Amino acid sequence: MQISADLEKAEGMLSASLMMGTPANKDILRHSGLLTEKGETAAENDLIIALEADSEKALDGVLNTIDSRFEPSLRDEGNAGFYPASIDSALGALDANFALISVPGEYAARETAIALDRGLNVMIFSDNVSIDDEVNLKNRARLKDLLLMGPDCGTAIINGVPLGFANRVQRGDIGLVAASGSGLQEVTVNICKQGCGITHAIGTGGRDISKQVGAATLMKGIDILDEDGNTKVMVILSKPPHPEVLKKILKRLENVSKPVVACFLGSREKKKMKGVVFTDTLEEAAVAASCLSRGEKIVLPEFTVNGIEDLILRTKEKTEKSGKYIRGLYAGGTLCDEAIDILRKYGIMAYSNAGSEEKYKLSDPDKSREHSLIDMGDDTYTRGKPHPMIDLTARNKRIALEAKQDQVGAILFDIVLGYGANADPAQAMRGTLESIKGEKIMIASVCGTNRDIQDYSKQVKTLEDCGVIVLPTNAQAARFAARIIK
Amino acid sequence: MDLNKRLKVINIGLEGFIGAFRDTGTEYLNLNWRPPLVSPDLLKKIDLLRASEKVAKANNEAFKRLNDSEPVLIDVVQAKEAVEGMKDKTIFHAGPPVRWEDMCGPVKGAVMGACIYEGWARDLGEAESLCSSGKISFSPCHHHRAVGPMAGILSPSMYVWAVENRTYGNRAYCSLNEGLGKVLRFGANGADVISRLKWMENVLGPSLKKAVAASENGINISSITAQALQMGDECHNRNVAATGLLLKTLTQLLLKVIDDTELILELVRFIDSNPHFYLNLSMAACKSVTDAVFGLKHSTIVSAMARNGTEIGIRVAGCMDKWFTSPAGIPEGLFFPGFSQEDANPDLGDSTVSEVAGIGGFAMASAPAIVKFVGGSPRDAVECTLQMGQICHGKNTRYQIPQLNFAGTPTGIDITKVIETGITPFINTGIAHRKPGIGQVGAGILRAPMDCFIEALKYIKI
Repeated sequence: MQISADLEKAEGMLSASLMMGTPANKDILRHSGLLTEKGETAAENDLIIALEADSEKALDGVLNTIDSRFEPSLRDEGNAGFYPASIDSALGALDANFALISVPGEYAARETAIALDRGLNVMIFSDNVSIDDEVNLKNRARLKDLLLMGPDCGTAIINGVPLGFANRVQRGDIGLVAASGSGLQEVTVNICKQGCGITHAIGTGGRDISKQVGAATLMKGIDILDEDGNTKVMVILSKPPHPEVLKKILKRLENVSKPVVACFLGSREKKKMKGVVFTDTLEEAAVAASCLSRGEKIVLPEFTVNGIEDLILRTKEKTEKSGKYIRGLYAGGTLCDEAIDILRKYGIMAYSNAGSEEKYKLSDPDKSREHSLIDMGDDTYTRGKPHPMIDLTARNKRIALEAKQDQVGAILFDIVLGYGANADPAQAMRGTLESIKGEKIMIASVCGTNRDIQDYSKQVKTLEDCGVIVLPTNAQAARFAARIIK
Repeated sequence: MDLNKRLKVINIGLEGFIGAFRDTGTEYLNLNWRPPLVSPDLLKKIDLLRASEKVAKANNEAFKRLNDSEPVLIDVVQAKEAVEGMKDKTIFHAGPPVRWEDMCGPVKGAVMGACIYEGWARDLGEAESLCSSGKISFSPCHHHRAVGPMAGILSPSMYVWAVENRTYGNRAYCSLNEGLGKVLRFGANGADVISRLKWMENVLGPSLKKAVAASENGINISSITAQALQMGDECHNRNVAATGLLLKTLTQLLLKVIDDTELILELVRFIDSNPHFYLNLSMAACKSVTDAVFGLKHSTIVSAMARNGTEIGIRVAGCMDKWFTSPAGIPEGLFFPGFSQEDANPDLGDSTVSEVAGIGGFAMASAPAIVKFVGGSPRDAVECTLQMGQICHGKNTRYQIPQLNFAGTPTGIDITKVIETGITPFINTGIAHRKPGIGQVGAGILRAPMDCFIEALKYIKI
């Protein structure tokens, strides 16, 4: 009755009637001339919707209204939310097997202990967890045969599910364990660009490879991937571990049953071991793993862009007129490390707030000198402020500042896409980049895929519109910078 | 170990991370996480209590007792004949202990009314000087296996419901409900209030006594409550269905034992005119249930929660008779015409024995009608019950909620869960005028304060 009354108010509607198909109701409809042939066939439990309108259009509009009226109207009011305030409450509603913890560090250890106690694998995104807590928690995880990633583990992909800051990459047969956040992102993304895919990307947190923690998670990750039937190739990724820890890792790698690619970024010593390919850069790690996955010989090209030598020559001419120094401003810490390493290979020593060489440590990361590569995701910049992957304001300001210096020839930077990152970072940089366009050479790489919410191709296009030279990988961007400055 | 199982994630912290779960069709729950309210030391204590087998065993036992208790109405009797410690010039009141000087307006009003009703004073002036003289002995109902709604005033001549916990053998008592508006329990004490009390003493009480005596085996209260929960009551602020069910049984019994149909009509009309008639009986039943966990060593389950209009107090099973108190909060709600929030007295009454037993605010989902009454929606009612589930030990097997797919009501408030989640119990309540002699001015909802739970945790030894 209520619906009929409402329908009759609609424009072009002459009469409307909703009735069950009982004989008495059919009589009523018949007398008002509203019972069609089809209506005659209705049984007692059928609902007859009889409508008379002055046009087909009016009818269509009303039919949509009817549909919406038969939707459960209680959707907003009836579905009460359940807002669990503790892990135990949540477990009452979901038989979870994983906890992603990103509460402030001082509270993370307790939540982690509870989660492990309840048999959940855990990723701690939070930082500021004490190293004692980390050791204790990792011990607990080991005893319970659980995976504990972090603390300070920014990214992971487990069984196809991106956790924290992670990219959408395709599934495949390469498994990774990494003590480096942006490094793991760059390698998974590059594996994806090689047409290969991943099983799991396990993060450990940067402190895992310290002497105290003893690579507890990294070793667990190796065990998991070694046993995992879907993983055909294993990638190990970290900064150089503590020597004792490294020994332990290498010993374990000897017994791994599948091909391994190991990248201890920044490590100078050459290692050789049967069944393990050691690489110097993230890019090489991705390429090597992909070649192994495809069963091909490993080929590591300097560039993968057609006509690159031409471009280098043309760009070099421009820089000869401007300054001779590279200034790199990075959102990804490991990407910054990789770039420093690559520049070194070309004989360019860069100052940095990151990097392993004391001699080239910037005393004040706000003041660049000569060649400088700054990790803008370092604690000094993120204490109480959003990470440059999320909010690009601080880095934009710094880029504008560096571009004003006469002796600077090239601005080098990264953009990291994926969950958690800025929704459209290239757009957020547009103003800054356009103001530099034509003044300085701008070189960048974008760590991401076309399946990422920010869309890799769209980001590259925006950057190129702003006059940025975009290389396919962080390593190639650094090489390109080295070649044009050298 | 194998990571190839479908991930089911609890997200604790940054809500932004759930985007990836949505996109990949991963099952997840976002924790409504808040920083803990207490120091790391006390959190550690919670963890130790949780890990303790003694505590786990005691809490399981406490829940079992709350769940298995079967309260049965066995008698209606004058307080002085049944309630322990009820002597001449004695008045019991709601909530934790409070001195005459510290009593709030409505409790003072009700106490003075009781003095006149008992014939200890001729008027309010005499009543006041009697109370100030120290000649009246005051004590909380809770200390005498009794409870009382709002002011909770019980004096020797008043009739009480006597309820026996059939499972555990203990008994509990509560006065008879006088009706709505200007009534003693809300602090009113005029001539009409006193004469109604007299009628209850002379007519209602004795008639009910006869009726109950005529029942075969007493009247099973848990089964009335269980039915009423499925009929739109939560048996604290809504007792319409339960009162009807009780009246059905009582009418038959009254017809059996009383010949005077005029009298029966008078009784039935009195009960029928008061949709809260069942409340006091339900409270006596709840008291008989919650007393079954009193003093249960090592248990962190709440055994009592009550307010005297000045303070709210809780007792914890493992802490024996110790009260942990905080200042009583002021309920927010709807007010009768001519009254406003400013007239509201702080929270008052023993009726929170309902929540301690697992009904009332904890069964709010059963009674959407009263959420509307205080400005919420049916959805809020369901959310309220779900939230209370987070601070309780288990789900009642007797009291079920149709709206929640017949899940049991959350039962057994665990103070460690209250503190860990930051969720304190919901309290449904009537609102009394802050001045003595006026009576009820509205009804509303509030949350118990956290402080008394924290005090209890500090007190517990591990």
